Amino acid sequence: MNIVGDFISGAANGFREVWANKLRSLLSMSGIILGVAALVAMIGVVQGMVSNLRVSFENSGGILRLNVETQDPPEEQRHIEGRSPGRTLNDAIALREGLTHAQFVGAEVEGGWSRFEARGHRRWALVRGVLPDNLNFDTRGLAEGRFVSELDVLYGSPVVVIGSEVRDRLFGDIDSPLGEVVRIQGGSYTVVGVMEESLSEAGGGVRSRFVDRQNFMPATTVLRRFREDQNIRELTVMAKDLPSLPDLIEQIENILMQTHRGIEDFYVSTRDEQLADLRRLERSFMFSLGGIAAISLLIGGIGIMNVMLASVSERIREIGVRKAIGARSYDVFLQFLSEAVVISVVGGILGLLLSVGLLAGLREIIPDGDRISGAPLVAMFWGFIFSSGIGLLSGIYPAIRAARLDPIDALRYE
Amino acid sequence: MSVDQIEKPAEDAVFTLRNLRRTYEMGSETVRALDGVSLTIPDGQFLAIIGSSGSGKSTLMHILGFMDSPTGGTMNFEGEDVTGISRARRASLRANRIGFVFQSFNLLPRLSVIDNVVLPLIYGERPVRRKDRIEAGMQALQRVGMDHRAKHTPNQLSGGERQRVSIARALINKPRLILADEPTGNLDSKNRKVVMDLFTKLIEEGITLALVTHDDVVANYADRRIRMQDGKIIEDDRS
Repeated sequence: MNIVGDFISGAANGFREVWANKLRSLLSMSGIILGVAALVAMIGVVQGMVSNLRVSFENSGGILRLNVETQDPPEEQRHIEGRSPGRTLNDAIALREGLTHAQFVGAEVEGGWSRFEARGHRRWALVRGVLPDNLNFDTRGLAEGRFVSELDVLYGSPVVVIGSEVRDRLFGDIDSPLGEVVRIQGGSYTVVGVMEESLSEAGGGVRSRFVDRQNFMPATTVLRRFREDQNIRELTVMAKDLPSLPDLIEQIENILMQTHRGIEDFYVSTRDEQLADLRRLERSFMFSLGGIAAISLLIGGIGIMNVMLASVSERIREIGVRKAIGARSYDVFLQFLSEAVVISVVGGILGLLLSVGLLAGLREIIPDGDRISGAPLVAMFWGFIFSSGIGLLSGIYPAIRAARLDPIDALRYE
Repeated sequence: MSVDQIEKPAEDAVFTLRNLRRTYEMGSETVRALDGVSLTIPDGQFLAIIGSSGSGKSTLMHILGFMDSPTGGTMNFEGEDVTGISRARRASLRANRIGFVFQSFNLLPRLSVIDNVVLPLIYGERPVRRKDRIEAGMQALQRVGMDHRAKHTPNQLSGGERQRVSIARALINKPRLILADEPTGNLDSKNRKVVMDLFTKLIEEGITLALVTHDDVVANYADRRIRMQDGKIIEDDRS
């Protein structure tokens, strides 16, 4: 009989053995089941996280975006660092007026999580103070109404552009929330716009509830009503194109040296580093997961080997009978190897099913988990291949032991 | 016939053994399990091998069944010199030319009766389709009167029934020789008779049988009895 035929016949025997010893088989495959399920679920979660980061990177300007970050001034300026006002809205205004190579200048002031109330409904949501250009750092457009305007910023108007999730919660019962008043932290704000849902192609068209709970107000309004200091959380500039980046950075540094009164308590960060960091993060996650998966599958393999060795000891007489009626050592070897492979393949399949359930649960539990894939096919494929391979490897030694048994000794075994 | 006389290979002999020896090393001591055994088993003979424990009869059975190899002498099976053949060749002869019947039946408890009976066909020279295996298995079960129990498992059968199934398994490959090691050792007198009558019937149908036993009643069914002691044949009774 050819090797494929032998293996198929061995696999059929393997299924029969697995079925005849259901509990023992289930226990022996538990390591593989949990290993594969954990591996696939973790890869699914990490892929979801990295995908979130990538989408957020692209959504916020990609490689053309520059960020002005704060830093401690150099040693020689430490004694006069108090002269600098720090990163304020004035920086953004100065950059808007002075830069020739910039497309947009955005600034963001953190208003924090606040309670929104309207029409008898309540919702906790995030307040962000922005400039009109911030709309350009967001791939979402406006679903209706308008964004924060120059005049809103100039006058610190009590207006808000709400996220789609907030609209659904507070104004789900009316056609349009435009012109409605929302009570936020004791103040009243008029809804002037609604953002689109955070549907994006990169995210596979899934909604991010976190993004849809963000609401925008004029930066000046947030500074006045939600904060006690003048600090801004983010100062960003979008370059016109890649070649103009070095000149743009020089311009930004020159302008900010004036607004910061010569104190170098800032630096301009490009996003090459962030992109490289993102890639490093992804790689390190994958390596860590690979290590964890390898260890758990190794433990699963040891479990299978243990059970197969016990199975060989239990069935010494059977091996003797099979050899006496004509089974070659190769037939016995293949029989036990097939059983190990059947256990690990069945364990692998059960692990994959469990991982799909786990991922479905994690999508619900993890905040912003909508981007977690329900079935990461590549991870599932490799999880299955590894588990089968582990079964094959862990079955070899018990199968060799079984094959080497002398038929006479095996038949005498009590 | 004198036991020292070397037997001439008969034209129709199943087995011809000449001066066969089997020794084991036990530490510094050499144990002679078979010490110059010469024996011819003609086609269709019912041979009983008797002797006390340690006389060498089991070793002789193992060598006749190609489960062990001699350390000296020659053996000829169906006209072929099989003295120093490989493990694989021995396995092939076990699968295709020899049938075994054991004292403790040795049926696999998880398999049904029919699956136990057809097991040797899986290891045969040519692959046999399941349908043909089942057909051959049912025929073998009919020969031993156990076809009505084909779908049962061994633990649903009595001792005598199990031994009849075990004989059906030995018959499935149409072997040249059936070797039975104390086949009635675990049976009561009623079932012993059933099994021995079955063997007698099979002999009449043309099979060759070599049977190891302690039991004189069983030995008397045979048309030839050899008695062993200290690895030698000390008596060959063809009466």
